[in-house]
Amino acid sequence: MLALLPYSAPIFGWLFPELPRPLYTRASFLDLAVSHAALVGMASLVVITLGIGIGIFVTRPIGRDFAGPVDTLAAIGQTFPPTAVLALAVPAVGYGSAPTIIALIAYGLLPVIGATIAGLTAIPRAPIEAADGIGLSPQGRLLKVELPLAAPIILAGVRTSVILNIGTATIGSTVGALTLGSPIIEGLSGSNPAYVIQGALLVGLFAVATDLWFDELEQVL
Amino acid sequence: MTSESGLSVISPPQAAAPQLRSGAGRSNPLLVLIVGGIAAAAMSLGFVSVAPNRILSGKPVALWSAVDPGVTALLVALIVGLGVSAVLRFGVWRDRFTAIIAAMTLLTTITAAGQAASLVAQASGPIARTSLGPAFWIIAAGSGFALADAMARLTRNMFVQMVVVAIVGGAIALLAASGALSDLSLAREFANRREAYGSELLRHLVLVGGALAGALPIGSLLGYVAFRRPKWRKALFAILNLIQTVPSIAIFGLLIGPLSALSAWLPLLRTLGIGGIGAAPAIIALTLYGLLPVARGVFTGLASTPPSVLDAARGMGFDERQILWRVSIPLALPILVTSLRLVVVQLTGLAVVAALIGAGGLGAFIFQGLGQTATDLILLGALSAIALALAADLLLRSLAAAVTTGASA
Amino acid sequence: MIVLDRLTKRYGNAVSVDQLSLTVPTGTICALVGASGGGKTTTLRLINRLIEADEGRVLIDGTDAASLAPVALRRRIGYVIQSVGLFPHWNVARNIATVPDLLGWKRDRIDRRIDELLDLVGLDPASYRHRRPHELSGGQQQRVGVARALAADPDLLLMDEPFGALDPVTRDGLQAALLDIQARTGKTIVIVTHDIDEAIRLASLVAVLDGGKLIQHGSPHDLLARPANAFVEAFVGGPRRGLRLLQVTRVRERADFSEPIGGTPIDADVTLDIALERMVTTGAHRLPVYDRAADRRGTLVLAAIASPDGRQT
Repeated sequence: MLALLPYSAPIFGWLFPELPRPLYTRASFLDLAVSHAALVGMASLVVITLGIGIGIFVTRPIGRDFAGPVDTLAAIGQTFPPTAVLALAVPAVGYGSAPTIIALIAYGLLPVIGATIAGLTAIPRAPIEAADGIGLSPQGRLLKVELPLAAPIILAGVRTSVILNIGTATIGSTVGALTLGSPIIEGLSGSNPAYVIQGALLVGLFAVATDLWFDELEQVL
Repeated sequence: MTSESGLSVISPPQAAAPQLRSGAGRSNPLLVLIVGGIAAAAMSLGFVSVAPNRILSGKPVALWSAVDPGVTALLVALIVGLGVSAVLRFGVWRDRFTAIIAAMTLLTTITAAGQAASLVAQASGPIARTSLGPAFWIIAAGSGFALADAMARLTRNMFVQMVVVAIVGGAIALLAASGALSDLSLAREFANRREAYGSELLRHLVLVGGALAGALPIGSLLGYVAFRRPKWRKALFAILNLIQTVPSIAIFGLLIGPLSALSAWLPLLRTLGIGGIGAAPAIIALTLYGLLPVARGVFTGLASTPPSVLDAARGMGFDERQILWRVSIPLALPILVTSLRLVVVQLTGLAVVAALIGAGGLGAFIFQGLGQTATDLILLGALSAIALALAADLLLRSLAAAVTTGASA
Repeated sequence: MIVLDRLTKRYGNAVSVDQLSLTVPTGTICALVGASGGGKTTTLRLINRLIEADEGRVLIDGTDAASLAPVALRRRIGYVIQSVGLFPHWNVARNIATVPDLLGWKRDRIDRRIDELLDLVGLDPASYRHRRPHELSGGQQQRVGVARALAADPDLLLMDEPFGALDPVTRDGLQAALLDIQARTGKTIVIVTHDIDEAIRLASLVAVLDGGKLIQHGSPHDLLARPANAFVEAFVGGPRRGLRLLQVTRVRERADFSEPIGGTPIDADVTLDIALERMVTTGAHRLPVYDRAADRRGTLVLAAIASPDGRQT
């Protein structure tokens, strides 16, 4: 799709004969896709490390005092509209990729933390007691027993977070980030439906492809 | 936006939250962190930001230079009080004390910001703009969260939590109505757009309400079909999941083409206001989004009736309709209300994006503000959208709590 | 009277119930016993048509069950299952009122009935009426389950391993309660169980099923004394069969009433296992017997417990 779209000008020209420039040309679709993927990728990397880390921390004895508040925070935070979070980042850091990344991290963290806590607390007593019984250290128990057992739930949280962030990053174009949302936003403000469709198709495919990739990852696990 | 809603629907509302609250007799390390952050922010960051007019960017002003020494002293005393409550080792009384001090800190901070703005207005005339600075936001967010955390420790009773939220919210509204905050640039922005605000808020509610009017019946029907026809289940949820996977803005965009073509063909649609842009495609797209959580909630709810109860009901001579209405639906009520909450909150958030295709709503302020680099306009839209989503969440949580106690008490 | 006439149920190629014919006289307790997968539960569910038979008929007091609407049929038949299946969102009273409600009884009649039934199953109406199922113990739940099944005064009660999930002490109490209820109401009861001791204690007619076929039916004594084949013999107890036989034989049948002896007598209506236990704990070879019904006295000797021929002293 990414390879074919640059050559589709005649099709869009035929579909929308009244438009002088039927194909989005301000940046190449490849650049847009790479930039979009980079934003989501960087944010997701931070989100996964930090989110799983926080989830592990609050389920250990040392972090027990933080478990309740983190739970409350995740519950409140998930009700915030992602676009509002993105918009709030602008007064703080200005326009461009920075507010987008910050919003992606802030918003993407919650599902991962929530899923990590849920996964780790949902493990039945028996395997944990068995792990203690055969003399695993707390670290060994975490790495060899708890995390593998919680992995499917954590992965589901990561998946939710990444897919959510692909959508939020699209809106990131309104604050000046270069993403696959850029043709959509520009098309909407310039009444150019061809741009909108080109961007929407690409970003839709990107999200669905990522979702399918997670499907396969879940199969492997 | 794949399965955030779906994931949570599967676990019943009460069982989902693990018992993680720390017991009585321990100090509160989180509150120590919060108070530390508040103190550091108050000392090093601007409490408000003052600009000569709307266009120029502001300069940060510290708390003690912005307000009366008395107000500064009160705020400092409250923050110290919060710090003391963090290291106390009592249980319930400590948390009640924390809750009260946190609520007072929150209200005092807001009052102080209002006072700072009034002082600036007196000194530099009505064109000068006083916007809220990072220190204000950190104190407000920190004390607000300290309040929420203390309440969560104190009670799981949703009604009590509702009352506290109503009292604090009412106090803030009272402050705003008294005019104490009206010199803040946020309030001025609101005053300039009072009429537009009312109509955009209404429009936002119409978008969400319209989408619910479509998604609830259709989604319920799909959920029921998934429940009765196991063969269709997988394909049905795969399709609904696909819709949720595609970013909202892309769905909005993809609907433009077909809908504008349709309205070009059928002039009747155009006279009804249904076209490529505006409220109609937004409501259609939001409806599509709402289908998955509604359908999944209905399916999960109906499928959660214990097999033994179904067997007993059949054996006693209930027909299928009686089983559905007298047994399965009443038993599924907590799950149904929880999925309703998730749908309403999700659609309230997504409706913000609808402003991009000319559907209006609170998102209009956000995107106008982003276009004009008008921070206060962005804040007005974003804070309103957040408040609306939180209010819907709290209201439906209370409903879920009422339904759950009704079902088990 | 319940007549099962050549009932057959197939699932694909597997036959779950195979040409099963059985007659349960009115007012008796009939136990369907056998190993898991033997077709007991399927047979029970064929009677109230939770499963439809492929062949054969069920006649209830002469009426073909297939001629009634399934829903109407089930409202006339009490149904009790192992997992009880009380409606968790209704209190005890409303659970018991389920079928009377469906039948459109008047409110005050239903209220009276609820109290009657709670008394019958041994729960105090005043303190249990308004409780929710989750506030009851397993045994109490099943008592409510039995009350619910009896609510509309059905002539027939179907029970699918009703006491299987309970601890031995609770189960014993409920078995006694069921015997008492049956004695007072004269219901016809068909009960599925895999516990041969339960079948021996409760039923006057025991039907042994294996592979969907009826292998043998008769009184517990018949089955224990003359098992039809190795399966029945193994099922009714193998090496413990003799001991179980004592449980179904009364002292009256083995006592010699021609020569009474002195001492505290044992009732002629108790079973031989109790008499044997008394002999073992007191070290006696003979016990005085009192037959209340005929107002006569006699003697039971140890040899008579082993065989009727040992009766002479």
